[in-house]
Amino acid sequence: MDKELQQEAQGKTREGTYILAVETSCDETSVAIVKDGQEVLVNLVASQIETHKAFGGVVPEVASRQHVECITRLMEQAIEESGLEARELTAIAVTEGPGLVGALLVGIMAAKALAFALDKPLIGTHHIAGHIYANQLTDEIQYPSIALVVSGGHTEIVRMESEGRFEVVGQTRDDAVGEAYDKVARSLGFPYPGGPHVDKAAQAADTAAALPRVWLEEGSYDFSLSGLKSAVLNLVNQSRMKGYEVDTGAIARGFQESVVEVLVAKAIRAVHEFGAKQLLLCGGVAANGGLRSELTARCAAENIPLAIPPLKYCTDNAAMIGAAAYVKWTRGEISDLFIKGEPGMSLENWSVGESAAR
Amino acid sequence: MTKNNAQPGRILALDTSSASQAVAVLEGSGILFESSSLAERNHSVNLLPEIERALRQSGTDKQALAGIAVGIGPGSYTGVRIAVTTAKTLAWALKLPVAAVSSLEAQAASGLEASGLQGKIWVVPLVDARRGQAYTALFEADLPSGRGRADELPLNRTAEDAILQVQDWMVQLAARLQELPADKRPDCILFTGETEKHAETVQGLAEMAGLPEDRIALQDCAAEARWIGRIGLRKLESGDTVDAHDLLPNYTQVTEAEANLLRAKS
Ligand SMILES: [Zn+2]
Repeated sequence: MDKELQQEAQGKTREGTYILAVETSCDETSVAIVKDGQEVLVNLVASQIETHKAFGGVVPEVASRQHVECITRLMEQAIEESGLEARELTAIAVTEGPGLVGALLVGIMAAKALAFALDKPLIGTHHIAGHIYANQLTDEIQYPSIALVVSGGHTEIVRMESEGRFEVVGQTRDDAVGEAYDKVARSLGFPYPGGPHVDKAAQAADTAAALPRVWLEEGSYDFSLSGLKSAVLNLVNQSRMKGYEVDTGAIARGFQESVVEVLVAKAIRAVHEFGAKQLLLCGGVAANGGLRSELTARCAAENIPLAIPPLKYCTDNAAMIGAAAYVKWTRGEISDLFIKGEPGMSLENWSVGESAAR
Repeated sequence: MTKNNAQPGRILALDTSSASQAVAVLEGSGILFESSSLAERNHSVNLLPEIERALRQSGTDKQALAGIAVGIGPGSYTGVRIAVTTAKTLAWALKLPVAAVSSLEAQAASGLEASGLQGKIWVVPLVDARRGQAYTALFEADLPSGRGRADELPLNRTAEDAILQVQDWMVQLAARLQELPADKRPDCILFTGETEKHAETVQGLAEMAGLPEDRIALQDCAAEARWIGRIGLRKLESGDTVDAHDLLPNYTQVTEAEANLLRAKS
């Protein structure tokens, strides 16, 4: 009997760890199947952007309703497209937090029920760990590492001494970068989601409006964006009151340059201070052209290896959750059926080796 | 039914549309397991472990289930999604038929059973929906004294599940009552569920409809899992099932954001 037939006869499944991951923390319903934390067999994303455009932002109740409508269809399609049988899955992973609690719950209930139905282990996973481990889908992360996480809900500098160990060294004290972009976009008259419009206008502008840089205390890795956002709103209002046309391009560029300068400077400083071998850029705002080009130039000038996942793994997706969950899986750290949505979940507490303390 | 094996008719019943989390395992008219817990806001934590316990204590292999019955609301939006998402995922993954049960119908049956009333009864389930509103419906039951089997409470629906201003609902009910000749009027109108908040309003129905006050009765209760199961079982047996992917909560109304958008457009 040849080896393959022998395996079949013994009812053995194929080699490797296959994690089915579910992500419903905000307005994207996503299901993926990831092999060994690195190879994406399938990554399905049902985006609700068109729906939420009409409201000018994400409406949590609308998002939760849409998650319920498509969650099992996506799970079924993911298994079909992976070519696996459901019983060949190794584990089920799901975003436990942070995020919108009602939205998280849909993914969590679906993941719990699937894990229970298939008798598979469940791995509750941190959303930001997912954004960071998106890098593992295309590259091997080098430790110690610094991650700059920028998205609609997050702005963080995270230090990783070793695999699965997270230390948040800096974070926003008010608005997240993506949130500030959306608010500025609205005041400049761009439709939701406004980030890409501001980025485009900034890159096309010849001049930049003078806007402040917010560095906070000496040595701080934290961010504050509400002051900058207010300065933009003042500028727009002043122009309107004086009857000038609002110079959208200059304001967009001034805002973007201020945001990018502070983000890049603090991230680079963290890389040097902590002796990181690599800088990881993660989260939906990694799509921002101004940020990418400035960070790329600075890293090149300072000989810092920079990793940016492809765009489809920067925005919210389940493949990244599968990648992060694998780090827990290899250490035997799994969840029980009592997990719930954790809107304010701590990244540091999710580090490997911390489960007993939770 | 798609499955037919050693445990015919053994079904799992769930409801998390209210503060009470209800789980049961039924086999035909027999209740093998039933629990209800009032751990408010903890349904998402406890539901799967409780399902696990229900199956274990009733000696039921999940692979051998014949179907699932789930309360689809109306009720708390988040609450309803917990049981519905669980039920649709279990039904899809275990390839089981699933029956969508009105949580209000199960609640009306639970309240009627608890009241011990007999005769011709109108049952009005209430689930508070704030700002003077409630999720409600209307059922009729005719229970001769010395009624038959307890699991055959014959509720006939005469109004769909809806969210209504309780005050307006009383005006509508009074009109319905007044249209009837005296001998067709119910012996009793039973309000079930979350009656406390609306007690004063519903008592007003007697005067509006010109009925003696003792014709109005109130019965606080939650939707019992056995009634989700019994109503669901009837549906499963008659093939009145839903594709797991299409199983959705009955919210009875669009979201506030959508309602605002519609208003702005018109
Ligand atoms: Zn995200």
